Amino acid sequence: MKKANYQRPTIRIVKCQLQTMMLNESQYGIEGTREDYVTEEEEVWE
Amino acid sequence: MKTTTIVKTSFFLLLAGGLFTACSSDDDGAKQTNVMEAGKTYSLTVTASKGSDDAAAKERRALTMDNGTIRATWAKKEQVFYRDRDWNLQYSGYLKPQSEGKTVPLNGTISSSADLVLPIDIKLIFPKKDWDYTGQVGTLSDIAANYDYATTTANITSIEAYRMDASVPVTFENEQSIVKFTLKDNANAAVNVSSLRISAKGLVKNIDEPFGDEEFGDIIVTPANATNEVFAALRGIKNAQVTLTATVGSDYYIFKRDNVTFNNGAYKAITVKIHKINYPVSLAEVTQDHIGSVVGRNGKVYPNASAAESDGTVAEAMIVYVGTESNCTHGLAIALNDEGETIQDAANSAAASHTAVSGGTWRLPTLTDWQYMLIGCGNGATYSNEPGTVDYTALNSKLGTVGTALHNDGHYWSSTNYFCPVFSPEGDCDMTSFDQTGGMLSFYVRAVLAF
Repeated sequence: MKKANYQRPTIRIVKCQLQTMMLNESQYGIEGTREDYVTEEEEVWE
Repeated sequence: MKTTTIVKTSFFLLLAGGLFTACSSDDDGAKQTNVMEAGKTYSLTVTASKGSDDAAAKERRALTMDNGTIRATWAKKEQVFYRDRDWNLQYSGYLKPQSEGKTVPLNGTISSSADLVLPIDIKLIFPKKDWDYTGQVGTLSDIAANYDYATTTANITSIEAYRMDASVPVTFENEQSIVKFTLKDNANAAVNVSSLRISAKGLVKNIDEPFGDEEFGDIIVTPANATNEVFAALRGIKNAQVTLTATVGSDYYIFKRDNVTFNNGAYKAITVKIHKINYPVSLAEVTQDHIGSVVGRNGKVYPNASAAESDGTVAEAMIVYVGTESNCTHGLAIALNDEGETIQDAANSAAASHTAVSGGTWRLPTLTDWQYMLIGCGNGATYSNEPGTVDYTALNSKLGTVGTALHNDGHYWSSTNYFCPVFSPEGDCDMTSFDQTGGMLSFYVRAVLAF
């Protein structure tokens, strides 16, 4: 019984990898947007 | 050969098992759930290989100067990390941009150290998980790779088959200002610096995740080669005095500017007419430029302790105030170290007996001395007959440059009645604290040199 429980995660990993490969890239996930830095007026310190 | 056959057979059996379980309807994630299980790895998007990045994309930086404007885009080589929720819940994994541009898919994996019930907000940070502004070298490419921090929050609403969906798109906010300092002397000639120290109240050195506690202090930019053009990523400066101290060969240059604000997400180019500091000088010759400089036992002022040692003396104090407002002729210098912890009577004598410095007199600071020591270092406060709580980070960061600091967890004695300013880890100095036992408690003692 203990042996069966120990092996189970190994099977899960294989399954997870296969499922991942079957996903459709275009449909899921995060789209991240970067913003430009706002240019402020140049200064002279003297 | 036989071994190879066994291995191959095992692989296909394992693959078959995997396919079977992947298509089965067990509840290990194949169906939609609202729980993110601890220790499980989830993909936020596809993790299938897209082949190696091309060499040009690897070298490309996410920040580019475009006719005076800093453009921010994604580069394939970058990574986006998860900010931990608290000490008991850490995320692992990261995301990578799958293309270049302003808005791109971010792909990767995530796992959590504890179960989470959806929906959850996951905070993202880029370009590093450790939020730290120290170690800058003064170039835009270095800032792009290491200090161009941007954050956002992704709302995770569902999990299906170990895939998590997030609200899209998310916009990353730039968390610091980028400043380009062009350093010149009064004759408009380039001043090429080998290091540039930036000091200001509120200037953030790093942010301690996951609660966002900010550690304040100076930022030292060290270019690979001496230059008069230095880029710096700076966060936290608001209506503060900024001090720029530069090393130029064996000389030191300085410039101070009051009421400076650097806005997060902004870029500013500043030409600074920086000037040389005279060393060594006597205590009677000090100017505002010498605040933060050390005082030797011989009564001369040096840029640092090693310069004092080279001149055959020992550094005993640091200039913190120049003026006559606090019962002094030219200013005040704080001892580099405590005299221990004592009751107030013993504190007075302990401070007065600090190793003698020519041209100055040691004493236990009055409440007025404490105020002017903090004001002189640029804490932005003004003198008050009834001081409240003020910032002491500017004083402490200057002490840090000579390898010492005030204790940030307790009381220091003053000689004014039984007032005992309290210095907190948050950078506040509470000047209203009063020992009701009449000076019989033991507090830290730090002597001040009046000159």
